[in-house]
This record gives sequence, structure tokens and C-alpha cells, in this order.
Amino acid sequence: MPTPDRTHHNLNRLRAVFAVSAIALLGVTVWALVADHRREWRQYQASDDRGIEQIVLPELTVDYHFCQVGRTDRCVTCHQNIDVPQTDYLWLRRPYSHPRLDLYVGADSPHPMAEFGCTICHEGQGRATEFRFASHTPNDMNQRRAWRERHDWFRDVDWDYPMLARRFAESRCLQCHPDVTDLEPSPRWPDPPAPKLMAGYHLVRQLGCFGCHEIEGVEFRGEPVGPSLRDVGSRLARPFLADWIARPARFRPDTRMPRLFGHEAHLDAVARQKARRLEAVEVDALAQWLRDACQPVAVPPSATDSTSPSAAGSASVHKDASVERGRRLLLTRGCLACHKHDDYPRATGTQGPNLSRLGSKYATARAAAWLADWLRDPARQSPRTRMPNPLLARDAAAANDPVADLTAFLLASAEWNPSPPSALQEADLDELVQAHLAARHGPDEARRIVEQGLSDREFAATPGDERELARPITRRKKLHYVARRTIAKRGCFGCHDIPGFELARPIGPALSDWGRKDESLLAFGRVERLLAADGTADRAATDHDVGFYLDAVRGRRREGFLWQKLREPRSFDYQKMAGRGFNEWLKMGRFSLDDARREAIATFVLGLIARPPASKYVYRPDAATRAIVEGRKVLDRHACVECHVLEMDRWRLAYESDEFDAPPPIDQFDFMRPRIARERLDASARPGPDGRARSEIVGMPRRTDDGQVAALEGDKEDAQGEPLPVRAFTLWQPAAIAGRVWPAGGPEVLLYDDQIIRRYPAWGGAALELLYPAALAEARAAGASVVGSEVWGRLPPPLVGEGAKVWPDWLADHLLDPQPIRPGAMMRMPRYTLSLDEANRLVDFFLAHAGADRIVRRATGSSSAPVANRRDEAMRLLTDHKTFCAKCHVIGDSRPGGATATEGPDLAVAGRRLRGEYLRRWLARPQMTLPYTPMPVNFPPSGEPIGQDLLPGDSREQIDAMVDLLEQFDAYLREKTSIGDMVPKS
Amino acid sequence: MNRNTNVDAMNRKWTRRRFVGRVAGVAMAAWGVPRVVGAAGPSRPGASDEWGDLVGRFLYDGAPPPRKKLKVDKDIDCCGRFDIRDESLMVGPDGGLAGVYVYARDRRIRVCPELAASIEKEVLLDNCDCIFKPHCLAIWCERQTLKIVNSDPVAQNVAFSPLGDAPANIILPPPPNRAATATWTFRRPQRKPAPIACNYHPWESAFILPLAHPYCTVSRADGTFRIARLPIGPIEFQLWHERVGYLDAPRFARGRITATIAPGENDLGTFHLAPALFAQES
Repeated sequence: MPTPDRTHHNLNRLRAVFAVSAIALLGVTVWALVADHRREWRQYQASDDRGIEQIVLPELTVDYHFCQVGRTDRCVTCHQNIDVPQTDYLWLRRPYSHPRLDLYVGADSPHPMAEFGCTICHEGQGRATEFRFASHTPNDMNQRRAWRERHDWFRDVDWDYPMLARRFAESRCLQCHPDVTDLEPSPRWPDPPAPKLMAGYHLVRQLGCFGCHEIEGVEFRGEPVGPSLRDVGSRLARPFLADWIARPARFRPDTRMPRLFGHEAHLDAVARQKARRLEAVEVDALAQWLRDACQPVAVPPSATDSTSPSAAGSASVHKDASVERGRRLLLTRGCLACHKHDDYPRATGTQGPNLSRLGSKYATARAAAWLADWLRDPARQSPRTRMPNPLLARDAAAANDPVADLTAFLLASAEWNPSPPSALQEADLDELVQAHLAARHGPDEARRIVEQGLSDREFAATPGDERELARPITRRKKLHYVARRTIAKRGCFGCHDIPGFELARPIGPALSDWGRKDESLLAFGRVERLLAADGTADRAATDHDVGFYLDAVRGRRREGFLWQKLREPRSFDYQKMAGRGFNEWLKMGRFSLDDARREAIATFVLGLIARPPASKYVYRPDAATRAIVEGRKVLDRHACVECHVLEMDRWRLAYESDEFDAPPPIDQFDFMRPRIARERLDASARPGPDGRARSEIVGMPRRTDDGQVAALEGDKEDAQGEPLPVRAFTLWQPAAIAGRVWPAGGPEVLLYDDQIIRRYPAWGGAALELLYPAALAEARAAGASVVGSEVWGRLPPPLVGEGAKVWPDWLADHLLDPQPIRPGAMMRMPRYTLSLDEANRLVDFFLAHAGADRIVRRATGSSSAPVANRRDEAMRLLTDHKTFCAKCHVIGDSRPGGATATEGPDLAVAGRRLRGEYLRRWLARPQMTLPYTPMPVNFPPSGEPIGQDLLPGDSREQIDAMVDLLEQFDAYLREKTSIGDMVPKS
Repeated sequence: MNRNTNVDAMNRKWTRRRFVGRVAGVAMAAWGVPRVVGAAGPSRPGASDEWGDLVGRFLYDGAPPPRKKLKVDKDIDCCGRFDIRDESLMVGPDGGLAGVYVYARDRRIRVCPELAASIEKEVLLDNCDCIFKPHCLAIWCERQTLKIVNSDPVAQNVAFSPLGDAPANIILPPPPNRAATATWTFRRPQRKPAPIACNYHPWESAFILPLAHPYCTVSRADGTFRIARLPIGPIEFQLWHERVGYLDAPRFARGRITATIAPGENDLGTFHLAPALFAQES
């Protein structure tokens, strides 16, 4: 039993322990309170202490240690008021407003924050409430440094989904938008939603990356991007072929073909020598094989007839052909919409190859004949080519053959010469053949086959390329073998149609989930050393982009790998050649890309993650949007938008209310009066925070003779009394400006530069900048006193609202087999190799784009009797050549006379093409529908109607009668024709 | 002596010192150009001390260029009968240059009330012999309307689209149809003439200059011009010709010249214009 002293002592000890514990607890409590009070996020919340805010997304799971767990995004705890624009509620504290509140975060946006959270797009650790643990990723070295100083930032390797650097922020759009083209700008979102991702997508599409790399989930309508090589040997000489294969950019600096040979920066001296020797063999073998294995399509006599060998024996063309006419044809036939040529430096077409120097490429008479035949009908030589038939057939009336002229021009520049081929070393050839064989047969057997060839028995038992090596072995057979092995090794069939390789599989790794590829599987090798040795690392200090990527290389991260792979694809072999045979070296070719394009491609590839989020997050367009998305792919494939404008220019304006007077009045029918909602009108007059009201106009700015937006003299003057420049904008849609309605096709809106706050360029029509000056010059040379804007009528028309303008069945027919519509057009639409499916998709696109119904029942002679009874009178007006239609329009076999350029479309078929409602509006006031048309107002809305001796009635009745006749033109003609009278009476 | 330099120097002097007096003065007389006829000269009825006339002449400094025959390929029965020639550069036998617009730049210029009261209410544009007559027109927006007439036995149309004003494309059937005559009101003064075209007959061409005042003239066939009843004081005039746009010659930078109007007639003298100015790409 303890003594009282001992008990007392124990009690004291307990008290001491208790006291210390209490103090410790108090300390911890105080520390906890202080720490809690000093939490990082509190500094962003300031006085309005909301605590930790979070968005719980149970359906949007993330992999948490092999478990799919719903996300909880607490980002808004710090990113306070991110959904409020910087310009609103200025007293609110907010470090950032989201830069695209129209698209993201905002409650009215398609991605409201409460529904989508943050990490679905940005990645990162959404549960973190500290900067350090949220797995932020700096966008460059400056930001990284700043974050380190300010936030103790570190790279959290324990979180698998670090935030994407801002430069790749668009990558994740792809997971929910696999159609990709739905991310293009649209009238609803004229600011491009994902410009970098789209640039990457188009580069991947145009460069044909999918030829070597499987990319599932994204539709590329993946035909090879290069030309068929089935018959190139018949038209290209061996020196040209060898030079082109070895280094394509030597002949064509802007070629899309990657460079497959001559990458030496990463090779040591021994490997370099080896590469030079063996690559020379490969190039030579390929050139030889392409000529020997060629499967030419016969050039018909019609093509060869027009050519005759010249004295020099080189390519020649018809003796009457004119290079000068050919040069002009290249422009006026629209070739430059898809092709470039040195003679036209402003041409921007990239769909087809650059056509400069073709004389050096097609240097033989046969090649010239081939080119002429190709121009006559490309699909005859290559059925799957995307090149349309330019319909250059000789006009019966024209003395010149446009094909001969164009051929003469294209072949005229022949100054370029291929570099002389180096002599092939037999030993190198044998070494390469042996290297290929050894992989299968071992070195001894390989040596025997090289020396003796395959016996008959071996030949019968051998599949594939080795069958080229049958006895008796020859040098040519070895070359053929090497060529086939090289094609298989380097994957040429990924871009080209090559005989014998129709079923070959892509050689590159699949990219379908590359955005989530395990970084530990990326074979960086010793590339970091190469970057240090070649001076790239030295640039990191001054170039923050290089610094960013170099850091990613050092950190063995995907973006670093991609960056270097696209810069120097084979550099990962650096100092790793020892013990690896020539055929085991890296093979990817180098594409000619600048930094911005590489980053665009990286943005796209990083977005390929193969695993979409929960289905409710995946974008499912409605039928109309899907039609537009699908149609865009066809438009892209055939480069339709190079010539045709599909959305007019769209300008946003800001102005003070007294800066616009009422527009000059326009005489118009009631049914033509533009209707604009009262709210929109009021909004256009309501001053914003800066005291200026806002509006948006759609149409076409007036241009100078050389196609640039014209700066004209405005009414306002500067301090020196000089007029300030003003832009004249023709409206194609009615607009609300300063509370007043401005009609389409009415007076031009005059705008000073400070009133234009944003200019969204037209979608499409890049080639028109080149064609417009040419058409204007041509019209003036023909003696016409044309006003500039009328010349647009001679060029490919804008297709805005086309679906509501024409009948869908006519449109499908026209797309498949275009017939001339406007006799005065400078160029006619070529015939594309569209499939029926593509034509249908385009028709659906135009209908959806114009918001029109697919099928509206065509009137079938059922117009009301009073109107239908007037067809004879309407026909009198139609055929009147003194004042009315027949004066300018072709009607069946009746021609108006005068220059073809002034002739109007054939009215006998207008009703088959144009919908009735369109015709009615068109006749009422043509300029409202097509502002640049030269067609006069035939039926004035007020005043005395004209043509009373032909078609009595007021203007409205006259229009109804004319629409009825045009729609029922065939029926009317049938009524007037008696087949019975034609049947011989027996 | 280089007249260009002297005229320029003179202009600057007038502007700087606000020299009010006779326009050409002694300096012009010394070069042999017609003297200014001031108060002592023949006075016009109604002239007062507040208003003066401006006269002058444009001479084409070279042999009169031949006028190209235009391609007439429409309505040949009617239009083929006429010898239709290019009107873009009209030079008389003695070198007089027609078709030069001379107009006051200032839109707020004071207008002589008597002139305003006496001015014609209509300006006539006639489609006659398959061309527009006259080739160059000017119109005072507030007080005048354009009367468009078709005198030919074939239909015509008249299309123009002045900057910021309502565009027009009017059909004119042949007379006696009442629609062969139309009228048009311009709502907005322009800085320079707007082209007029006929879409039926692409060779037809004319120009019209809607202004906020009546002080505009076009040089006549002999190259002379007169603007009546200008307010006295310095006035800046704009010179424009369809081949060159603003007559941007050394004497008139950006096609402008300042003259100080004195009561009576103010003679600017004769301006010699180099043929190179009117060269046209063929």
C-alpha cells in the first residue's frame, strides 16, 4: 500500500503531466487555429469568408489508386468569382476571371461550372486546397520561378494527372468532342473555341500522321495523303526520283513529304558513314523499283496527239500552245485555290502540291502527255485522287486548247536539275541485303542467299519480299529486294498507294491514347545529352518555350518527348547505336514544322486519351449540328471553302448613340421588310459601361481593286481637316445599329476604325483575294464600266444560306455533276470525285447551315388558278427582249446577245434550281438577297408598275405570276407541246 | 519659268497671310495668263460685294489623244448606229480638258441666297444615243433631285451606289412608257464623284457628285470652268478627274487648291496638265 508521501508524489506527477499536456494541447489548438486562420485560400477570400467551396461530381470519376472515384473540385475555393467577368462588379475580389466565360464556367455557357467542375478540362488534383498540392503546371520557366517563390511550388509526382500547362489547355476538348470539327468557330461562337487544337487536327490531317499511327476515335476519312506511286515510274526519270526520295525539299521547299534520309545530327562518325552508304543504297533501290514495278495507265491518243517531241527531246507541248495564256488560266481556272506557284506569290492554296518547276519534274514527252491527260481528267489516271476535273475541255468556239496552254505553262520552268546520283557500291548493296536477310535467316544463310540466290525449292517455300532473290541472282533483283524491304521498313505505304503493299499495317505506334501514355515507357534514351551538346540547352535561358520543353525532357514527360520527336525524330538514338543494326534505328521522318505548328500537333496528340468521361459529358450534337460537323469534313477534304464563302465577315461595333443617323430609306415591299426583335433593337442603342452601345453586323466590306479592305474618306476630319479613314460595309443580314433597322443590301454602313472593336473574318474564300483583282481587270479589259462590287458576280459565289435558296435534289445533282449556271462567270466549278455519301452530307450541311428543311414539297402545277391562268402573260414578260428577262438572260435556246460576261443565268431551269420563296424575294429586290448583283429592280414596290402591256397588274401580282411561271416552266412547256401531234398518223 | 512652283508658292502665301484681293494679281499677269477681272471688270447681274465667281481653264499639255471606239455588242439595232467612244479623257482640239470636277471642299460653306433661289430643282441624266448625257454631273443634295430619262427606243438601267447612301438600280423602259422617266434623291453628300453604270450596256459610264452645296462645276469641252457666286475669302477647292481621281499634281497636292475669292470674277488662270498624269493601262 503506498504511503501518503508517495501518493502525494504521484499526484504531483500526474498534475505535472496534466499541466504539460494541457499546455501542449493549448499550444496545438492555438497553432491549429492560427494555421487554419492563415490557410492559403483565405487570402483569396478576404472578408467574405466562404470557407472551402467545392463542386462534387460523382459521375465524373478519376482513377484513385485503381479505384474510380467521383471528383470533388475545390479549385473555386481560391479561384473566387471566376465566373464573373472582370468588367462586372468591380468591388468583387477575384484573382482571375475565366478568359472564355461564353464557353466555360458561366451559368449560361455550354459548360457551366456546377455541372462540369474544373479538372475535367484542366486536370490536376481537384481536392487540394493548397496551391502546391493542386498539381499546377507552369506554362514556362518564368512562371515556374515565380510560383516557386510565391507558392513553394513543386512538381507532385504522386498525382498521375497533373494540370495541363496553359499552352495545352485545349487538349482536353478532344475527350468530349471526338468529332473535332464541332470546335470550329460558328456564328454562335465566332471567337474560335479551340484554335490551337484545331490547327493541330488539321496538321495531323494534312500531313497524314494517321498513315503510320493509328488514331482511333477521331475520324480522318483516312485515305493516304500522298499521291499514288503505282505509275510514277512511267513519267518520272530515275535521277529525279532519287533526288526527291533523298530530300524532297530540294525540289519543292514547301512539300509536306517528310524527310526520311540524311538525318545525321545524332549520329557519331562511324554511324554517319554507315548511314550514308546504306541510305544511298536504299534511295537508289527505291528509284529503280518504282520505275521497274510501275503499272502505268495508258495515255490515250487524244493526249499524245497534241504533243510532239521537240528537237531537244525533252517534254514538249502542242505547237500552238501559249505559255502566257496558260499562266492566266492557272489563275482564272481557280487552280491557285489549291496549289501554289512561284509566279503568283500571293497564292495560299495548300490542298495540292506547289506547281512551280514542273518542267524539271516532267522532263520527257511521255510525262508531258501524261500531264495533259491528267489535266483533262485526273480521275482517269488516278480514280481516288481528290483533284477535281477542272473541265478544261476545249470550247467548240474557242480556237485554243486550254489544256495545251496550261501544260505549256506548267512545263515552261525547267531550270532546276536533280543532283547527280552517286555510283552505287556493290558491297554496300550486298551488306544491306544481307542485313535484311540475317534478321530472318541468320548471318551465314543470309550470306549464302546474297551470293547464290534462292533455289527453286526455297523460292516456292518463301513468302514475301525474298522472292525477289530467286536464282540467278542479279544486281537488279537485289535492288528490288532492298526497295521492298525499305518501303516496309519506312512505311511509305502510309501515305502512298504502292503496288504490293495494299494490306500493309502502319509502322508507327498507335496514338489513340497517347495523351495518357505511361511516361515510364517513353524511350528518351540519352537525348538530354544531345540537347546539351547541340546548344539547345543553352537557348533555354533566353527562350522560355525551349526552357519549358527542355524541362519536360529532363522530367521525362510526354510533352517533352513529343517536342523533341517532332523536331528531331531520330535523336532518341543518340549514343545508342552500338550493337544495333542499321535496320533497327529509328525511322520516323522529319516534317518541316515551325515551333507553333509543333505545339499545335502536340496539343492534339496530348488530347488523345481514348477513355471518354461519363457519357453525359460527351458532346452529342443535335441533328442539325451533326450535319454541320459531318459536312465540314467533306468541305475540308475537297477544300470547298477556298473558293466559296460560307460565313460572311462579322464585325462587332461600339459607338455612341448619336454616331449613326437613320439609314437612307429604301423602297421595298412589306414582305421584304427586315424583322428585328425589339429587344435586339433596344440593346443596340443601350450604352454599355464605357458609354458606347454595341452591335454586330454581317456582310462584306468594300474592297480596293487589288482585293484589300478599302479605307475611304469619311465625313469626320482630324485636326488638320483631313478626312478620317472609313470602311464601307455592305450588310448581308439586316442589322440593328443604334436602335434602328438597317436592311440587307441597302446603304453601306460607314465605320471608323475606332468603332470596329472586333473583325471576324469570313469563313472561306481565301482564293477570292487573288481572283477578285483578276476578274476586275478582265472585265475592264473587256470594256465594261463595272463598279467593283459587281465583279463578285463573276467569281465563285458565297454559299451563305444556300440550303434555303436551292432545292436539295438539284444541289445533290450539281455537286456530283456541276453544270454552268452563270454564263458570265470567269471560272466554272470543277467536277469533284465526290461519293454519293459525300454529296448527301454536303446537302445536309447546307440545309442545316441555312436552317432549311430537307424536303419541301415542290409545287407541282397546283398554284392557285388566277395565278396559273396568267402563265401566257408571264411568258410574254419573260421572253421580252426589249426591257425584261430575255434582254439579259439565257432562256433555253434563246440568248440575249452581247458579251457572255453580261448574260444572266438560264431562266428555263431556274425553277428547278431555286426555291419559290427565294425567287419571290429575289424578284422583289435582288440586292437584298445578293447585294452585289447587277440585276435591276424590275417590279418597283411603289409608283407605277412597268410592263403593263405584257403582264398587267400591280408589281406584287406580277411577281407572283413570274414565280409561278418559273417554278412551273417545264409543266407550262408540256402544256404547250402536244406529243400526240408528233406521233405519225397511220 | 516654272509656273507650278509659283502657283504653289502663291497658294501658301494666300493661306498664310489671308491675303484678300485679286486672285492672280501681278504675279499671274507677269506670266501672261489672263488677269483677274475684279470690280473693274464686267459685273454679273446680282453680284454684290460678298460674292465672287471663279474661273479657270485646264489644258492637256500634249496632242489630243484619240478616243477609243467602245465595243457595242448589245441592242445593236439601236446602239450600233452610233459612234460611241471612250469619254474618260476628253481633250478639245486646242487642248482644253473637259470633265475636271472643281468643287469646294468645305461642306459648311456659306451659300449665296440668290444662287440658292435660282438654282434648277432638277438635274437631268439622259440615256440618249446609248450613252449617258451628260457624262459628269453634280447635284446639291438638299435642293436638287436627279431626273433620269430614257430617250432611246430600248430599255436602259441606271445603277449607282454612292458611299453610305441608298444604292439604286432603276430600270427605264423605252418611251413613251411613263416609267422611262424616274427621279432620285441623294441623301448624303460625297467626297468624290460616284460612278453610274448601265448593266444592259456595259460601255455606258457617267459620274455624279452629290454635295452639300452648289459650288461645283465640271470643265467644259474647251477646258474652261466657272463657279458662280462663291462667298468671298479663301476657299479650298478639290479637283477630280475620272482617269486619275484627285488631280494630285505638283500644283495641287492631293488635288486641292486654295483660292481667295474677291468680289467679281477671279481667274485662276490656265493649268497645264501633263499627259503622263492621265496615262492608263491598256
